[in-house]
Formats: sequence, structure tokens, C-alpha cells
Amino acid sequence: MAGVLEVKHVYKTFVAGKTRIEAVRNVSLTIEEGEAVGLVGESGCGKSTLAKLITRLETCDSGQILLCGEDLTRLSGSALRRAYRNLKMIFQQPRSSFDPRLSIGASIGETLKVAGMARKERYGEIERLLRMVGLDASYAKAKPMELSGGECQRAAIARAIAAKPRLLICDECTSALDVSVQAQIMDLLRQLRRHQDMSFLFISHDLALVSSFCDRVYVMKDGTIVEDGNTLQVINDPQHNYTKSLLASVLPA
Amino acid sequence: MEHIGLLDIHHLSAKYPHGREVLHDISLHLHEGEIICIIGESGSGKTTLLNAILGMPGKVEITQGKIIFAGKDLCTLKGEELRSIRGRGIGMIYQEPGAALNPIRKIGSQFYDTMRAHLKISRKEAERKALELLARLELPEPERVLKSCPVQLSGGMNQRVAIALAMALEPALLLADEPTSALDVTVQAQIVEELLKLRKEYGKTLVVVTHNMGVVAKMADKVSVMYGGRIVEYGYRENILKAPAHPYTRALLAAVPKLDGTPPQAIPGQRPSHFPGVGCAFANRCPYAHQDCTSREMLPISLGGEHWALCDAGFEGSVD
Repeated sequence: MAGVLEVKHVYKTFVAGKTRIEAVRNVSLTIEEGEAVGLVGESGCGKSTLAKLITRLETCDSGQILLCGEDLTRLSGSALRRAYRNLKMIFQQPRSSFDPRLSIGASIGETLKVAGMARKERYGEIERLLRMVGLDASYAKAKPMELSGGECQRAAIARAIAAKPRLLICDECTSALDVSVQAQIMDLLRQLRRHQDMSFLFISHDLALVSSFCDRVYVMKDGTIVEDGNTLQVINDPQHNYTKSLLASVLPA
Repeated sequence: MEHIGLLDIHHLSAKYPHGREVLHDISLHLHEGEIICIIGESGSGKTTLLNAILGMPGKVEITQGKIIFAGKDLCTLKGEELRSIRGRGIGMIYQEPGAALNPIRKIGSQFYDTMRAHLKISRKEAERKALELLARLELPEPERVLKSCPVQLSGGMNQRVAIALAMALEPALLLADEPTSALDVTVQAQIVEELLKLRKEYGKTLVVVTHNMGVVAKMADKVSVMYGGRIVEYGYRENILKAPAHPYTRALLAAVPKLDGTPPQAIPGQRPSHFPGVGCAFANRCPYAHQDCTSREMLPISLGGEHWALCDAGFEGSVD
């Protein structure tokens, strides 16, 4: 069965002078239709590099990345751009992902324009998207700097889902937010999961947060996947020592 | 009324320079060797309170109240006197480990700079002391760390260096503003251990601003919960974590993700951008709110011992 995303035996090595860093070593993972999959590990373990490989901000040395059945590592030009409509990403710092001089509405409108929507329809759609993520339609005129971190992340989500992607990559998307705002954003993602036909790759270092959102989880260390499985199973019965130490360092609340 | 602890804050109110009131009627009392955690969302005034204690000019203007540190009222001190207390009397650890360090100056030199500003000390002596501190905090390879610049070290390492640097002048009181938020979970646990060690080995008093409940559970003796520039609940750790009374404290605790897969509960509504002078700032988001919540004066309600809250609508009984 073809998943939304299949990563097969991917390698990536960075070379700086005489040092070679094997950032991603033989990583394989799959995300099925409608699934939310977690990717955890500490900084430097390669999880963000993996996200960059999937979004082609970096190219992999070897291996395959299939998005909806198409091998992204072989596509280029307009074929690649077309394939990438199925994939959107939201980041830790939402403000830095917006053009500071464009209004929120204009930023979302750009995505809609690229997706081929006529100008007349765009205004209504921007308002609909903003309302969907819990923002007032008047936010379309606001600049990113005028929004709080939580509001800005909502706007980033609105822009991401504007193109109706099949897969949304969330890279530490709540780490910069307060716990109560984090809970609001998680509520929103959960809502989107119910009502939109979308899969999630949820990158985080917070196992507790992952446990509340993801069906399955991959644990990454030093560039390789050391453990994967059903989220609660992994948390309640970790097999790998690294997973155990990661769980032990979660401060009890 | 007259508490004589290391730090006594009496009815402190403060505003931003040329701006609105940000702290309202804050009272806190800290004895030597105690750790108090201040929790609350961004914008609740936690960091401003630390800035007020440090007397940071241009950040905050105190309009009312007193801050008594080791018998001296910090609000009346000026210039040289205040400078000698900052650093030597009160040390500060910031959220971004980089904030306290010059990224391209060797750590050893930065220790010397800091110590030389307050003490008569030779470079050799300063580095010997720095080495001892770093070793005490169990940093690997302290000699190498002293010869490195912050850009060559990881975030976690820099934060530990910043802690050691704040300790270099042996202040009696350490203020820490979100000391773990910018770090990985595994490193967070290490930093918490290190701060606890400061208390155990040096008897330090700590004020820790955090929104991480794990940090609170691990290290706090006392907790004060801030919302809208006020302390809305105050008590020992068990009081706050096990028997929270104020609806905001309960909502904040419910928003923390747990390992068992239960989704975190969002607090409905938005934090108001402007906090009212009278009434409860949380009223518009509160499930227990009545009509008079926005108009009546909020006074502390005692809940046994030192535990009090401005509202006890969520209280379900004491733990002891």
C-alpha cells in the first residue's frame, strides 16, 4: 500500500573541510493516509535535516523520497513544483516565515495564486481560511509583526492549508509558544486532522506533546532511527536505551 | 508585615516608562536558601518583575512599594551603590545563554572582565577561580572551555558557563529567567540539577521564572502564579500543583501536555492586551466567573498556611 510519504534508505553527509558529518544514515519511514507521525530526538540528531531533505531544501546523497507515489529525488523544475503542492511545512518561528512587509492576507493570497485560484475568489477564500484557524477576518490586513506568536502560527497554518496539501510537516511548531497557546495550536491541528484529508509529520523534542497527537512515533539519534512504533507503546515500553533516557529526562509535571 | 528575609517585596507596582501599569501590588518574601518559581504566560509580568528587582533603567519604572534586599531598599539606591549590588549581591541568568556572553571573546577573559569590575583580582586568580567553578558544576574539560569562545560551544554548554559566570561574584541571590526554555529536554534536566546543586553546595537563594511545570515540580519550594501583572496565587509547591485554587492556575496546569496521551486543554479566549485596574483580569476566560468578577476588588483569600489566592473558585480542599 502506497503511503502519502515514503522515505527509503536515505543518506546525507555534510562535509566541512576535513570533518564529515553523517547527518542522516539509512533512514526509512512511512506515513499513511490520514496518519499523524511523530519524529523525536534531541537537537543535532538529524531530524531537521530529514525535514529539509523531504522538502528538498537539501538534496540527499542516496535513497528515495516518495510523496504520493512520486519520487521527489528524481523530479525537477515544474514537475517538482507540482509535486510539492502536496506538501507544506510550518516552522518554530512563524514570524520569520512571513515576509514582514506583506500583509497576512497577501501572504496567504500568494499561495492561493500559485495554486491557480482566480483573484476574485481569493478574497473570500482568505477570510474562510482565517476563520478556520480561529482568526478574525480583519487579520488579513495585519502585518506579521502586529500579531502575537500564537496568532502568527495560526496564520502560518492558514497559509499552509490554503493549497490543500496531503502532508503537513510541523517542525517544532509550538516550541516557541506558551503552554496555554501551545494547547490552543494543538487543538487547532487536531481539528484540522478531523476535518481535512491530511497527514502530519510532527517533529518535536517533547514526547508528552507527541503522545497527545501522534499515532506512531520514530525516535532518532545520531542520524538513524533507533526505535519506532505505536506512540503509547513506545512511551510505556521503550526498547532502546536512548528512548529510555529521553523519557527519563522528561521532567515530571 | 515586617518579614526580614533575604528579599522582601512589599506592595510593588510598576509601569513601563511612558506606558501602562505592568505590575500591580506584588508582595514576595524569600528566606535564604529558598527557591521560588514564578509561573505564568508571556506578558504576565514575570520578566518585568525580575527587571524591577535588578532596577534595570529604561525597562521598568517603580511607582509604588519597596524592594528590600539584605536590609537595603533597592528602589532608593542609585549609581555606584546599585551597581555593586547587581552582580555581587544579585546575579542573573538569562533565557538565551548567548545574552550574557560575548560570542567571540574567550570564556576565560569574560570571567576576568566580570570579576575585575567588582573585585581587585589578578587575571591568574580570576581564571583559577573560574576553573574551580566550572569543575564544581562538572563541565567536561574546564580548561578547554576557558580557552574557547561561546560560538564554539553548544547552547547547553553556554548556559552552564552563564550560570558559572553569574556565580563568579558569589551573589547571595540568583535570578533566572526561563533558564531551560531554549534547551533540549535532556539538557534541561542537567541545568535543573545544576541549579539545585547551587542551593545544596552554596546555599544560594533562587528566583526562577519559568513556564515549564516540570521545572516547578523538580525544584520549587514556593510557587507564585502571575496573571495580568498580579500574583493570583501563592503557596508551597504541593499547594499549587496538587490543590490549585485560582481558576487560572488550574487552567495553566491542564494546558501542560502529559505523557499518557491525553491532549493538553487549551485555555479558551485570548489574553487581553490591556489589564483592568479593578476586577479580575482572568474573568473573561474563566469558567467560574460571575457578573461581579469584573468590578469587585480582588483580595487575597487564605487557604491555610502560606497558601493564598485572589480567587478560590477552583479550590477543592487542601492537601494536608
